[in-house]
Amino acid sequence: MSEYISTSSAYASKQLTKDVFTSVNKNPDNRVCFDCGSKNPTWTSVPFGVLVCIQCSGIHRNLGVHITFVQSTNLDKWTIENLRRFKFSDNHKVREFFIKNNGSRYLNMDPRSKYTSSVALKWKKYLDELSLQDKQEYPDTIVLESSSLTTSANTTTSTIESGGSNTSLNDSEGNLSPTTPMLDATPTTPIVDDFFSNWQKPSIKKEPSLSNVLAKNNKSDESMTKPVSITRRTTSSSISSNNKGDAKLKKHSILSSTRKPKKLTSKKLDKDSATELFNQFEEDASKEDEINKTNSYLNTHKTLESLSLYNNTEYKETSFNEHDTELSQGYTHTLETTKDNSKNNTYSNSEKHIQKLGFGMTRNNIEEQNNQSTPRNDNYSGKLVERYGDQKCISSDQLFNCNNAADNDEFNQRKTEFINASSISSDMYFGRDEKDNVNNMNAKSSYINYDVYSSKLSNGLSSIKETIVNNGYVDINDYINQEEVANLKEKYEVGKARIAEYWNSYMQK
Amino acid sequence: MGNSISKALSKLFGSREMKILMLGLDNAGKTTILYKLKLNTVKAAAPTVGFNVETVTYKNVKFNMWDVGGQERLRPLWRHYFPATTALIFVIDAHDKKRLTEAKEELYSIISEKEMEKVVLLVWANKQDLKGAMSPKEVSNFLQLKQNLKDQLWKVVGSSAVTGSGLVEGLTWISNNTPKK
Repeated sequence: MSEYISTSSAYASKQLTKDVFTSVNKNPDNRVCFDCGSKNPTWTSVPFGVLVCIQCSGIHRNLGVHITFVQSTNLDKWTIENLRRFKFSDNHKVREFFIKNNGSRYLNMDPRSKYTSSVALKWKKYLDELSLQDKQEYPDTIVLESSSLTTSANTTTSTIESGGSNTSLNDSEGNLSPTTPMLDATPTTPIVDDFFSNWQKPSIKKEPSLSNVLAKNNKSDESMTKPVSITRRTTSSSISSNNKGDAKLKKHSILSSTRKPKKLTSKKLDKDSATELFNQFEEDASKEDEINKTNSYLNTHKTLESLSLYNNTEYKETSFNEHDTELSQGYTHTLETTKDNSKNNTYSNSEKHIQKLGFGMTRNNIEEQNNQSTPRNDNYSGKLVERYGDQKCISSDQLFNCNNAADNDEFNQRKTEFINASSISSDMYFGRDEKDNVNNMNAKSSYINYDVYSSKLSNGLSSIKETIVNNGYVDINDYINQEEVANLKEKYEVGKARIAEYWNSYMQK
Repeated sequence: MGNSISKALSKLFGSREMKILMLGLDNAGKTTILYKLKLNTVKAAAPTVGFNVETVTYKNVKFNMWDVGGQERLRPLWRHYFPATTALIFVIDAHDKKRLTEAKEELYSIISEKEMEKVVLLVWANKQDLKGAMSPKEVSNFLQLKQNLKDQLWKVVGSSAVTGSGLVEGLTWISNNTPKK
């Protein structure tokens, strides 16, 4: 058994225990049981560093102390070694670890397989190492970095693996309702947006255009916060409801499901630390501003050029010139707006920078969000609606005019062939030889052509394949040849064995 | 008159009653033992916060068994259950070797109390069904009761709450070694 059970090490003071668990409890993820999702768990599985409710702790106890053992956060005396594990571990981190290590399927399994899975053991081992390292650094006490807000700034640089604490920021991750299934708990929600919204009062009314926002930004020195509020608006309307003192907004937020957790966080964040953070971001943003200003102009120019090229060459070759010009008009319109927004790009980039803060947030996510948000800017020309508004469906081919004229002709020609036909087969459509088909029908009914077929198709599986392609089906009567049947059987057995082998090896993993 | 007759009868045929206090570290198996004796089923017991009391009748003896939670911060409450206890059962997780010292310390702190001087001490070395569990003999050697308890009856019995082995044995020993009024 590993060292965490040992009683030889000193006991942690009551205050220290309390401190550790208050810092752990800051994350809403840790205010629900890791196993069943009930609220306010006060029991813990020490080896895994998760918080569970009392019922689930009973299940944990039944697993045996070699797998997991439970301690109460408030009824047990904690050794420093045991407590140290909770410096690096909580429900949120464990869940993340499971998901990242391809073990998300274990999360909803029964406790025994969940806690004896390879991922769980890996986490246990990893946690052992972490706490051992920490023990060497602080042998007699636990230095809680997570409890102070100063480290929340550190999270911008620290990776998840290093156990960087994110509790203060993730507080505002209100989109997690206590009963959300575990897989949904990945922090893809715009955490940092929420964080800012806690102390920065955003404007409620929607600005008609982005240029307005820009103008406002220029007036106020708070160049950072406004862009954040912009994305907030584009990502989810409910987030904007999160305001401290605004009664109107609170009324508005009745609709949002995310109201409650945010209320909690607004109390916790004090303004000083927030402004500190804010200043840092502002600096970073201004740096990126400069870089992006140059970059974004270049980019828009390039895209403009390429688009005009596209318009001139390819589109003219196709038959729908009229349509093209419309489309290109639409595109250039959007481009104009993007050009207008080139300044704004810098903001979205700086906002990217902020969102790096988020725990488990990746660039990809942000880019996705940006992609989503840009079309919502007013760059929609309305021409497409004009053209396709009365149609029930529209294909990408239609929209982008991909089908060339030759294809179209062929299609139309074929189509005319079947105008009066009551049925249509792929063979008929593609003009394949239907004689084979007919012959085969004969063979099937009277075996007239049996010899022909048996000689023709006695070349094993490849020929069967051929007939499948040609006829669409295989008549097993054609292959009464015992050898072939045996051959087939053999191959099937080999295949079966292989699949079984693969499956076994996969399950053993 | 009638009272004395019924008393006499109860002495002859009736059941004795005794208060038994069951203590031990958390996760030793106290609650599981209690419900194994009472209901003959093993249920997944969540940690006891507070206590459980059940009356188990065995061979005309009514055992009022008090099972008190074993969490660290609940242990100071144990002494409130001490008065009028006939027998003390201390349950040890024989599989959890790392915490044996802790268990030993707790046991000695209990029997050093004045109220517990005269009680009969039964130690259940529980979880014998698990591989690697210490045998009753090993536990008894570890606890060094022989050296330390000169004028007190004690016994270490191996038990398993899951299979039920050793439980009846322990209760029989208690009923045989307590004064019959």
